[in-house]
Amino acid sequence: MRLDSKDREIVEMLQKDATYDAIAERLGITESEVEERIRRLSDTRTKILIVDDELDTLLPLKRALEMEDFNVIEAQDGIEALEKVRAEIPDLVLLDLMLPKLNGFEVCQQLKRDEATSATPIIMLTAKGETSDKIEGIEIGADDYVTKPFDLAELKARIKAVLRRTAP
Amino acid sequence: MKVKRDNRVVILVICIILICVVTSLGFKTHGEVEEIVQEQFNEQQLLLARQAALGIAGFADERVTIIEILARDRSGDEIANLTRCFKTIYEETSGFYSIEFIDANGVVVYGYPEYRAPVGYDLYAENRSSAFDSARDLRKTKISSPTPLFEGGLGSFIWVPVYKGEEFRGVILAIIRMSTITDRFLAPIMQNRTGYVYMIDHNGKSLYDGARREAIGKNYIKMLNENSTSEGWLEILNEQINGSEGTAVYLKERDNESKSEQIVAYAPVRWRDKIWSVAISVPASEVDHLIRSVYARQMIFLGTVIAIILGGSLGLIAMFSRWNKTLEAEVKSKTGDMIRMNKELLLANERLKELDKLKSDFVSMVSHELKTPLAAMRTSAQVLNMGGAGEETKREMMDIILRNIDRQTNLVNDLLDLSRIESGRMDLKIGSVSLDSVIADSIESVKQAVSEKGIKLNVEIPEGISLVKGDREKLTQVVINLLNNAIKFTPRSGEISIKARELNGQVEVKVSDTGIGIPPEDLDKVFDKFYQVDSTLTREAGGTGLGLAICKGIIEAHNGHIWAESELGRGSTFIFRLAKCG
Repeated sequence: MRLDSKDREIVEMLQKDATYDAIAERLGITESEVEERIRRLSDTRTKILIVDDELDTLLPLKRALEMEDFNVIEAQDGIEALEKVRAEIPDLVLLDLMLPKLNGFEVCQQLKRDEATSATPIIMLTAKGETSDKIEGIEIGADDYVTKPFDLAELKARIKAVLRRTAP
Repeated sequence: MKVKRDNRVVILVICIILICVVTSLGFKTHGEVEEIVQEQFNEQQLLLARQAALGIAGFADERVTIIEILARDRSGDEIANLTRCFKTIYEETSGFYSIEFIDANGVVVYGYPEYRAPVGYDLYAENRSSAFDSARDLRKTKISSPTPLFEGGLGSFIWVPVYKGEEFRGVILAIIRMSTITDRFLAPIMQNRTGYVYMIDHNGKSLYDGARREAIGKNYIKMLNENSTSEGWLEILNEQINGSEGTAVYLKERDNESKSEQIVAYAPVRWRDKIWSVAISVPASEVDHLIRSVYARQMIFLGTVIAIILGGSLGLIAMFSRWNKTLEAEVKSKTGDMIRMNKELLLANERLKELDKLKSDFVSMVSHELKTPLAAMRTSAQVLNMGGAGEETKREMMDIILRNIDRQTNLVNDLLDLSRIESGRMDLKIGSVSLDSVIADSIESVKQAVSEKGIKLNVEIPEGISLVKGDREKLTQVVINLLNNAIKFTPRSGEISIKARELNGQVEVKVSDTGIGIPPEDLDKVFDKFYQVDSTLTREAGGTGLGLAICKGIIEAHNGHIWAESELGRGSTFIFRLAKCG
């Protein structure tokens, strides 16, 4: 569970029994966003963002992780992935390499370059599996690298390992 | 640049030195040649003079001898017998002016030719007897100095005494006209030549002068003493009077006061006791003239030689330069060939690199495309296996597995098709095919996808369109591929049209969409395998990326033609043409 500065203020104000509209006024955001943030804050499960343009790959992975009690959100292209990371602040990103609009490397690079998102761990997923791809992925800051088709148990183990390693 | 200039200076200096050497050699040689020619010329002149002198002496002496023989032979004869011979002698020998007989008393009694004989002329009476007396007293032929004749001109008088024992009978007087001698021996020398000949007696009196007739009979020495115009000549005349022979040079004064060198070659005429002298006087410029004429000949020769050498050299140079040009042209063309070949090699290399990249891209793409459905199937299967999955999830997972098996199958089929096309092993079951039904079948198989995306499908096929020759199944595959392609790139509620028409013995099918279009530079590449690699445009639409490549392969196997036209953002049109049946 990761909190940004606004989340922390909301928590503080809630402890002082502030109303939603007061919080919205204080932070300069809409009331619905305050509600959304509170809903998100109330979900204490670990949040994972899966980025893959292949719905057939994305869906079983999502189901499997949900069954492990992860809060799973999804994105189908590079741009959407960047938006989701910024809005949802996931605890981990599973990032496919071949994506429309922005490919996995570019997404990874942008996330690592941005201070707000640089701490978010990234596991790269790809069907290519060539050594040069792996090296490039690690060099631009990916935390781990899994090739398709992967073993679900192994992927889960790696997710947990990365989360443990990068826990705040 | 500096070295070049230095070289020029060195060459210039060498040239100047060579020119100086050649010039000085030329001058030296010229001097020597002049000397030799001068010597030869002088010798020749002297020889001429000597020859003339000997000729004159011989001629005159011969005449004297004839008369002497007559006088001695006929000394005892009657005077009439003696004088009869005069006619014969006069007629048979040339050169006599007249032959006369003077009796012991000094009176002319006979002469031949008679009209020239002053018969009755008394020497004593006229006081002209000194020569007669001398001949008589000395009993020896007396030759008197040339004296003027009555008829003009000079004559040489030869007095031959006739003695019969001790009895003096008279004198035969033979007169030889000087002009006879000089015309015969001196005048011809200077024919066609510059200069003149003169002859003097022992006193310096002119016996002949080829230049100045009026001087004949006058004394040169006297003339010179009165009017000393030509220094040096006097000395020569004195030498001549002494009976010497040789050549000498003196400065002759001309009328216009200029002076010119005159070469004089002289030789003595020794006729009995008389010593005359023949001289040939020629301007020194004659020698220069001679040298010049020699040089002129040499120059002509040299000029011819140089012209031949230059002409030959130029010819050779022209020949070599032509060779050179041919060689250069050959080298140029060879170099051009090599450059072109090099370029071709470079291009081929580029093409090979491109092909290699395409191949590795293809392999990478194939592995990706094969692994993706496998990953989906595997994960789904594992989810099914996890227990705790709800019915809904189980159904979802099952669908994914089945769908991906189909996808994998399609991909494998496409790859196999492609491999057959590329290796030329595609079996076509050729028959007469109605494109009408091909299009209808194709539409049928894409119907669901069209309606799912809310796409409007326009079909325009003229009634009774001609049949084409081809493999029905394969052509249906082409049309389905083109339609699928159009569907993928056409947004929801877009429009797809399929049109057929006949033209020039061919049938044309056009599949147009209102999709994103293709950039012009990529129009040819869309038929490449996995053209969509790295292209986010097409990646959005998914697909194996092999459909168009297979279409192209099939159409080309039918000897047809397929191409794409597009306006970026407005949509694309894929067109193929096949030959009509029959």
